Amino acid sequence: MWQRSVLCLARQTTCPLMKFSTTTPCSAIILRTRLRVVDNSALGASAIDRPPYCIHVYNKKHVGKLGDTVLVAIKGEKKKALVVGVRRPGDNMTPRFDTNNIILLEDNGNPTGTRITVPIPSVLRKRTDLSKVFAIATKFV
Amino acid sequence: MPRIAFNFVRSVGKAHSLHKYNCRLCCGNVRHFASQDSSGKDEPPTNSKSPSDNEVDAIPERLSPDNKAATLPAPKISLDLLRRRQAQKKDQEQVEKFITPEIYPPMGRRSKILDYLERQDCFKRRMVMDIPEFYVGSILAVTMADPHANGKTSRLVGICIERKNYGLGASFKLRNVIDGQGLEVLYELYSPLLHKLEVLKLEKRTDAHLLYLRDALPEYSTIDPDMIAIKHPPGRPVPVNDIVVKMKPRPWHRRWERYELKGLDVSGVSQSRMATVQDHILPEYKKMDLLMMYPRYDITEKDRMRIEREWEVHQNELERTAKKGS
Repeated sequence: MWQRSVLCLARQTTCPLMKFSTTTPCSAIILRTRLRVVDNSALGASAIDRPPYCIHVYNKKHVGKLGDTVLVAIKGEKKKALVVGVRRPGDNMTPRFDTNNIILLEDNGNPTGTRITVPIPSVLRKRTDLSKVFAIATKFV
Repeated sequence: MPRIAFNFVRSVGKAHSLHKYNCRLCCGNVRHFASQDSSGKDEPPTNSKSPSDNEVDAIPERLSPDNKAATLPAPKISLDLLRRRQAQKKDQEQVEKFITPEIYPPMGRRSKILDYLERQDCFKRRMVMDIPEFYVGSILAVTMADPHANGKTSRLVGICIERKNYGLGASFKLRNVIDGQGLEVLYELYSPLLHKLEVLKLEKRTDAHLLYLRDALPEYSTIDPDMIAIKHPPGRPVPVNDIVVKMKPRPWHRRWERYELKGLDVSGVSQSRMATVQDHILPEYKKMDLLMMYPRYDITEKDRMRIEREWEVHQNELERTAKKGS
């Protein structure tokens, strides 16, 4: 995915930037995973140049899956978020998204935005504690 | 022709059962002894008459330790007759009849009985739910059970990018871009959660899978969810869509230029990368290697014809029940 560009001093004249990836990509949501905000919150929309990244996953394994709450660093501040779409394949018959999607949450657990622009997996609906999230969702897949 | 008796001293039962298929010296007329302790029993364990090499058996003879012939209903017709019938049918039909790919068992040493039973279970499910003919590249609409949805079902339209696995585990992946979000769902063909499978557009592609669509421009994966089905006229060959897809800028999820795929445009890939491609592509002689070829060619002709006969029987039954219903 993202490649760290390394300045190669010896080849500066011919090839100033040598791009190669140094770490194997991890398709799970862990520390430093970049995430995509899919609600219409102002904070989410403004964080375009520096995408928000995960700094903590609120579960025992600290590996985020669909429906987990994570703590993200977004525009210099810490904010809680809910994972609503993952790139890593889950159970069969459940959708696998092309991006790791999150919606921002307040400290009390309520969603920050008023609408979710992308489809949400239908399997999330068995989580009764996320009723406020489903209220702002537009489409279920 | 003298009868050759083989008495295996060191072979275990399993190896012996495969002897009939593996040994080039034996012809069908040879009687194979059941085990190393020949207690005067000269007769072959299962049938009263020894099978000729022209007959196509529905099931292998050695099934259980107590040597009981399994009563599986399968017609015994001579191989010549079967071949003649198939040749006749091919002449009559202009289009190659579709035989679903998940009934051909994968490569390797497998239990033919278990494979047979699994196929029969697949056919049973097909009597209840219509699983149409489709290929990678076809556009499908899947209606699935969903307890949380309004009508207790949810419908997804997408392009089939992959088909995998044998028998009841057979699966396919649907891809679509909805509201700018690309998503893929892996559906199990024989899952009871699937209510309906509609083929909105029946077509093939030039590649065995379309996983590269993740790295292609989203327009190639975007299917209108309200798309009306395009009826495929029966008897016409399935059209092959030879579209060459344009890719997003690198990095890609995989180095698609190394995969010998015909459906994507690798013109944007740098020369240095293209130079390494030849190291990753198999040379021609390795491609011809039968062991590495598509699993279908690992099956002996006898077994393949047997499987195709089972499929024929199933299709006839489907037609019969359809006629009864209407």
